Amino acid sequence: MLKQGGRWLDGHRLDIVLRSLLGIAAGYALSALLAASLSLALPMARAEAVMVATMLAFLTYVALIIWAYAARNVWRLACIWAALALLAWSTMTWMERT
Amino acid sequence: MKESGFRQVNSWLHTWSGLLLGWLLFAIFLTGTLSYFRQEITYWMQPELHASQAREQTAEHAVQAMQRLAPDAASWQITLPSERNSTVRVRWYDQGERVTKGGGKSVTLDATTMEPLSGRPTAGGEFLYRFHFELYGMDRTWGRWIVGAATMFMLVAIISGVIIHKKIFIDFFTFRRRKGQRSWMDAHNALAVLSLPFHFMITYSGLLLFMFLLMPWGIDAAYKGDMRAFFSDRGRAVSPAPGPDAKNQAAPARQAMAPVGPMLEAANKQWPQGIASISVSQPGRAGSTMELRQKGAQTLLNHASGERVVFDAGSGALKETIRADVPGAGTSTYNVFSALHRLRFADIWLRWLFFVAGAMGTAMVGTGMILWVVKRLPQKRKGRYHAGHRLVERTNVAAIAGLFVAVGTYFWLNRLLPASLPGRAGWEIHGFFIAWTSALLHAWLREHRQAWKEQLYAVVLLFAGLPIANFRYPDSHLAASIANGRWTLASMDLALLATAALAAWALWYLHAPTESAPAAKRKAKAVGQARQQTVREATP
Amino acid sequence: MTLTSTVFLGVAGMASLGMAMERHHEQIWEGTALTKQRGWVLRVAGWLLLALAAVLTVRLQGASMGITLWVMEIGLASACVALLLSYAPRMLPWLAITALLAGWIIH
Repeated sequence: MLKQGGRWLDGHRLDIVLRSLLGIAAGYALSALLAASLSLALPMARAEAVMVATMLAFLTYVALIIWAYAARNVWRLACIWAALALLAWSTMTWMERT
Repeated sequence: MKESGFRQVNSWLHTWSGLLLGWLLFAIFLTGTLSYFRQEITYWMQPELHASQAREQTAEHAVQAMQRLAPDAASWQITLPSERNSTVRVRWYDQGERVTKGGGKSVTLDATTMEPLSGRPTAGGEFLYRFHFELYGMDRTWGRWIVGAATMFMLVAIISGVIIHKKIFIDFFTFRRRKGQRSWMDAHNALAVLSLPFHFMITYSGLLLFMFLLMPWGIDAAYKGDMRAFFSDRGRAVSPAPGPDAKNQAAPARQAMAPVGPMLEAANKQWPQGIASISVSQPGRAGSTMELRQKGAQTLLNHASGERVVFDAGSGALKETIRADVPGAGTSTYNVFSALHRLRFADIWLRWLFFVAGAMGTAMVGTGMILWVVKRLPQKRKGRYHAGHRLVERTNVAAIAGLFVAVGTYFWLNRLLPASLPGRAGWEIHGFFIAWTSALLHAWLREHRQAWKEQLYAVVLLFAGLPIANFRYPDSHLAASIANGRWTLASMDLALLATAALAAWALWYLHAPTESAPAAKRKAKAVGQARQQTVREATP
Repeated sequence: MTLTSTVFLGVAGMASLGMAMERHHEQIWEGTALTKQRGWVLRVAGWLLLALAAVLTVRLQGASMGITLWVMEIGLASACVALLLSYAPRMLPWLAITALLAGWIIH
């Protein structure tokens, strides 16, 4: 997706847009889910867990953005992220119930 | 991104995350760096206060002054003079009045005579500070979200920058001058790597300071959004919920205050940097207490809050020493980051170290933006220069030099606008933005190199002119401040001169034409040919 | 005053590490090559000086404040060394010696 002699190939443009949406929007959502689930799951005082979880969420967000652009296959990435989101969400619901 | 390696992807990411919001990030970095000295800047911008000089008995005299000014108050707060501000600032709340931040009545006093001083109304350094994280002229939450997003871009730029820097250790001390694009690259790298711990800390901590706005989902999940419960769990003091109407409660009976001298001396002995502030509750009445707060701090883990000692004001006896607890691991880490970002606790030496690092960060962003343009100069020469390049090339001038023009204008308006002008503080700020917008128009209308030169000329004139203009104020100008050892004022003037010198150096650099690579090649070829010719003519 | 000595020690340490790098060793001593032994000595000296500066700052200011101060000081020291190497590389050994002496005397 690097410019090839100044020409923007349409396939590449879609690629960039997709990865940007994924990285920025889905990345944020996934980081938010991580913050929420870790806040409940971490074995420490509630307020401390929230602090640690939130601080980790920001670092995770950066990693996710880089991952979105570096991954070889966008669709596979989306599937992995969906799985992670499901994992986080189910952790949350299970912790809330207990 | 099929054939692109990890490094190439990060190179692309670094360029775009830096480029898209680079101008905003430059402004955030510059105003942030200046904000480390916001108290000093505000002080400098109020020459009426400069005659004040702290003396040994200032603390005692301040308490006595309060007994004259507000004998019936429910509480006094006295901020003592420091190297950052040589005046005494007092605040008091009447009986039954709720204690709110910025509430009550406040007066600035001369540290020797205890007479009230009125500095010209100005936003001072506070405008730069607020702009740094809230921008201006828009809803505060919007401003914070924009700055927060920019901070994310910055963090991505830093991490991707480290990933793509191939020779981060070998090139650590490398700065090759007079080599065109190579020099710009070296400068950008050196500025980034030499202060890398600072840059990472300042960016990440910036995000953390906004964490409850940008990433509240942890609190949401764990506390169902009950912020009050979360904060009290963390051990942070929560302002008491409004209780029954206190106005109708009668003030306690009068009781004389013990001499404050011994109490202040006891505290001063313990604390290396001395006393920062004095708070007295129910002064001159039964049950009155005097709380002294330490200047500076011993550890960052508890948010760098200094020690406090509480005396019984009637008897002068020490009641308790309060040291903020070291909280749990998560909160401690957060405390360290937030204390380092805002640096409220720091002494003058650490403050200058952070200022230099911040200046390096500002220059890092600026050189990055310029490097992007310089890298595309060969394309420009071949005529393949399109609108995006032109946009960045032109706007760079306004974003970098133009911002300095705006800051210089802000300071000049502070000196020129009459103290009695209504809405004076607002006009200083308007001047800042008018100057910045003018710089933008100028940059788009003028030829590229001309625009740089003209705006840099303006910076030199504005910044060198200010210390000269200061001679109008007998207590404030450079000669007086150095003679009296008033280093706060002196360093402000010296910093202004240093900025002018920096701009002048940039002008000198622009005037000395650096040979472009093709021109240098042609020249070398011509020299080589001439040499061959002479050799041919010489050999028989 | 002893805090100032830690700054000097940091400068000496960074200067030593700079001199231990091939590229910069060549800038300073054009004829002499950087032997493995010399490089090792300079590098060890450099790290020791930095460590000493760290220990002293922490003893003076406590753990969190001390480490902060140390990190910022060696950042500044590195910038000074980089600038000197760019503008007047041959002065670097002199800077190192002066800084070392100053740090020791003030301490």
